[in-house]
Amino acid sequence: MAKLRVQRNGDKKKNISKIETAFLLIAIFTILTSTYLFYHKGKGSGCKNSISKIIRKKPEYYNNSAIYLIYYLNMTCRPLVDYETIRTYPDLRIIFLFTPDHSDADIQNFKRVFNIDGPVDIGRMDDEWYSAYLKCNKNTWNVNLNFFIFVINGQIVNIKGF
Amino acid sequence: MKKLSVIGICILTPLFLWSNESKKIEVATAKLTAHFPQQSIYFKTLPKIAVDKEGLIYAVDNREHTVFKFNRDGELLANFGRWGQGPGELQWPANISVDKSTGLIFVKDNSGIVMYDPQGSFIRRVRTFTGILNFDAAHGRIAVLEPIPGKQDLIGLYDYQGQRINSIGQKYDLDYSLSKEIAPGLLDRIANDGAALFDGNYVYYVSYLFGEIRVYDLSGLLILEKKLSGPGNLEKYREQYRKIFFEKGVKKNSDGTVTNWRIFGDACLDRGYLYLLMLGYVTGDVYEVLVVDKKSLEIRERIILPDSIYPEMVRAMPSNEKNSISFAVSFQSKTNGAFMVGIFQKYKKEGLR
Repeated sequence: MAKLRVQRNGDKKKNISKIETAFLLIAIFTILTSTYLFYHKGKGSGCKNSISKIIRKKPEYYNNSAIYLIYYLNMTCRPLVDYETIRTYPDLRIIFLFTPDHSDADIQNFKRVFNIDGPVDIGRMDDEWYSAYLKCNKNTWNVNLNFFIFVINGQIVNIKGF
Repeated sequence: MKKLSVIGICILTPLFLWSNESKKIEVATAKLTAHFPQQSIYFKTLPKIAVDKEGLIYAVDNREHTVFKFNRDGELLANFGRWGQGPGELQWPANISVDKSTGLIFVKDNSGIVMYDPQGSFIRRVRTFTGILNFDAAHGRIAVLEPIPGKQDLIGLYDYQGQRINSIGQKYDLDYSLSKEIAPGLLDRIANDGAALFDGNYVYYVSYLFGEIRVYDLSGLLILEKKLSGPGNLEKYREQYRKIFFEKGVKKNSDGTVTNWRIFGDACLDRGYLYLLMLGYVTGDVYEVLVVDKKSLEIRERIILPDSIYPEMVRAMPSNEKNSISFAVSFQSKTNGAFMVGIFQKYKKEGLR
């Protein structure tokens, strides 16, 4: 009985022709490529392009800057990434932009908790920044992230979600 | 001389016995009078609960991202909030409080404290950025237990606009070098876990780990402090935990976790009393609610909860009768594992212990 079953399985494998196998491989390749492009290239360029556009409008202001786009921070679980390091960089403008639903009291609480006492710019995102933030924030987990954007000589060198 | 001694003994013995008797605490049992939800909805997690001045119960389910409003018979009156980040939407709600004077509802979720009016309409979201351990909203203030890493602050007092008015109390002064395996932020959260409660005049801090209560005025001045003693092995466990946190140091378990030591599991404040949910292992038996006089911080009564439940939260229910005590408890049933809210009534005095 066991021998028979092996032979049948073997027969089935032989039934798939080389053309069909080729079609199958092409289909799998197409699906994988389009998924990759959709999630990585498409999303990445939308986010980066939008930010680049904003930066190009005010090159002097954003020339050397660290920009935080903040939806939610938590001193214990979601701390402010890299701030302790970049605050020591000379000639670097540090900008904190909060989603528009943050109140003045919220921003005061943020400054107090994170000891933000140096020369930094703090405000809420305008429409353009908020639109860019939403593009960066597209993710399959439906989680709102914060973003850290590092601009050197007018060029975006790093966009980090946290 | 002999006569005098006999008279003295006759007078002093009853006095001694009486004084000893007065130190004993009244013990009673509680019975379940209603439990819900019964049909159509069920909780996916142990719900966090709050009670308003009319005795309506608000239960928030962490995985449903929704607040359910019940009457004391368990009838669902309303629900509000849903998954999302928009106005009034919630993400992983973890606690709830109702200001009994205004009926305003406050829900702590992933991104702050969301404030609703009594009808469940969104008012605003307050952000504290601190990793809130617990909070209580009352009389226009939110007392937030937020031990901030790197600072001594324990409780933040906020107004309903989200402005921080004052800092109340200080964290336990830990030697972090003793507990090298644990990040200081996590150690702070474990050591200072408790409840921050507000009655309009004073802020009460109940330490779940050490079984202690501190009372502060609104300027942050420490008014009263009490290490609770009496029931079961409360003092023994406090000493044991103090040794671990202040002398030996906290270590991770072999599987990488950290034990969540606690004497109390929850606390609330209603009228003249604090209600503390004492964990079952402290008496080696079952869970109890300790009723503590908020002025003297003396334990007035121990109410033993039924053995058939694992209680999570306790909230005192309003009552018109002077000596009647009832409370809402969120619990997991030992029989079928269901997450429920029950109304418990003190009904039988067991005597003094």
